[in-house]
Amino acid sequence: MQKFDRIEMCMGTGFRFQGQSDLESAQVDFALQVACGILHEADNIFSLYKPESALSQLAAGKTSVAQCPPVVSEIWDACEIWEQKTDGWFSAFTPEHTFDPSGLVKTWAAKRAAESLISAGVTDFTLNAGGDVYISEAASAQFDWRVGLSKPVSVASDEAGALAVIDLKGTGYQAVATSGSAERGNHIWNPKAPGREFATELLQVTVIARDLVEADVWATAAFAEGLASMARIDAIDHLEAICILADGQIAATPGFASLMAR
Amino acid sequence: MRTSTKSAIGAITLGVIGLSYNLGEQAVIVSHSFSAPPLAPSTSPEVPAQPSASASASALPSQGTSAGTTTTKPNPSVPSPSATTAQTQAPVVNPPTATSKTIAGPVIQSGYGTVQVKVTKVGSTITDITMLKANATDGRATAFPYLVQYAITANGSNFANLSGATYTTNAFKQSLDAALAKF
Repeated sequence: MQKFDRIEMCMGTGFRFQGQSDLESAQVDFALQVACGILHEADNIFSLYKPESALSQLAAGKTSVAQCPPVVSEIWDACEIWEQKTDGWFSAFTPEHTFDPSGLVKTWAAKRAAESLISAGVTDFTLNAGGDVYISEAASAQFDWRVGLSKPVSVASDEAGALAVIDLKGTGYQAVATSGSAERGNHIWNPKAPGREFATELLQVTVIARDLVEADVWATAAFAEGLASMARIDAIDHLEAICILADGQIAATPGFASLMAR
Repeated sequence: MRTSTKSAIGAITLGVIGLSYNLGEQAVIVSHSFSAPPLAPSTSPEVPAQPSASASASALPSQGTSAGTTTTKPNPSVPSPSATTAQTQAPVVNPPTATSKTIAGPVIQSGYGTVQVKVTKVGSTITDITMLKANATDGRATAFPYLVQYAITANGSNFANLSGATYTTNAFKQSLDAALAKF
């Protein structure tokens, strides 16, 4: 049994693959290499920080979706579908009316990277994509199923750390995503506000889902919508969430409590 | 179950805030050089509250954006690790033959700073974890005291990932795990 632990810096954050495999270490290394390649390829296409990326060219009006790699229209479609599913609370269209799928691309690429690992025969692992966590179905270590939820700490706070630890073993849930203003400041706009101002009702929201992209999108949407999102998420099967309001109060879906580690 | 959200919020609020408050309290109390309380790992320790321990904020450099090599403030008054463990060993049920051993983990560069831990074990029990380097930007340094406490009570770093704060935890766990691997 070969243990591996690889951190790949990409998209301005860290992707950490941790797990074990029966394959030869060279095979595992190659599979990880391919998985990381998927991340970098997505970054090269979708980064708005890289002026030469297809997305930057698109935002600058120098190209059309038809001329971009096919994956761009795939993401565009996915964003529209998620916008409908979240009743408009997740939106990839900026206040300036440009297309910015950054809220989706990180976990979309991470999910594909994870799928690539699994298809290569590496099935027992966790992937931490910049704070969004995916646990493979075949993850064997009880430890891997325990996920800490970060506290929404302000810069000056002494009270940082984990708010709670959840244990997803045997729950069917495999993904945990957190959106908040503590790590990156205000960066999620409210798509329904007149001027698409930043959402500030919540400090942080964590969504637990079966799928990493689903968790990520709903965390973003819930952050934008605020407390009302808890009822919306509760009405959807196989989705749980916990949020912290600006005044420090905590709210969660009724099913969340059963996920807390004991 | 839409209508039940409100009541559940109440219940969860109590539970989680209670937890949150406890953790916060511990985070304040725990300083860089923290020795394990004699407790059952699975229960929430009843640590007496102390008024605003200054260690966490002041001792953790959090300025600057570079992944600098700022070390934590030297703590000459702290007895040597073996002496520390000798004191805390008494209430812990350990074979009398167990000896303490201290090993430093590697320096880990995280996306937002530098982390290095030093671990002391008596037998198979972690009794002390010291941050040799704890530097993180944007307030992340404040996570360290809690991480130290957590690792001690869990006798290891007992969760695989922290959602919402990648770098800090990863670096801490990396250094800790590497140190533990050397025992």
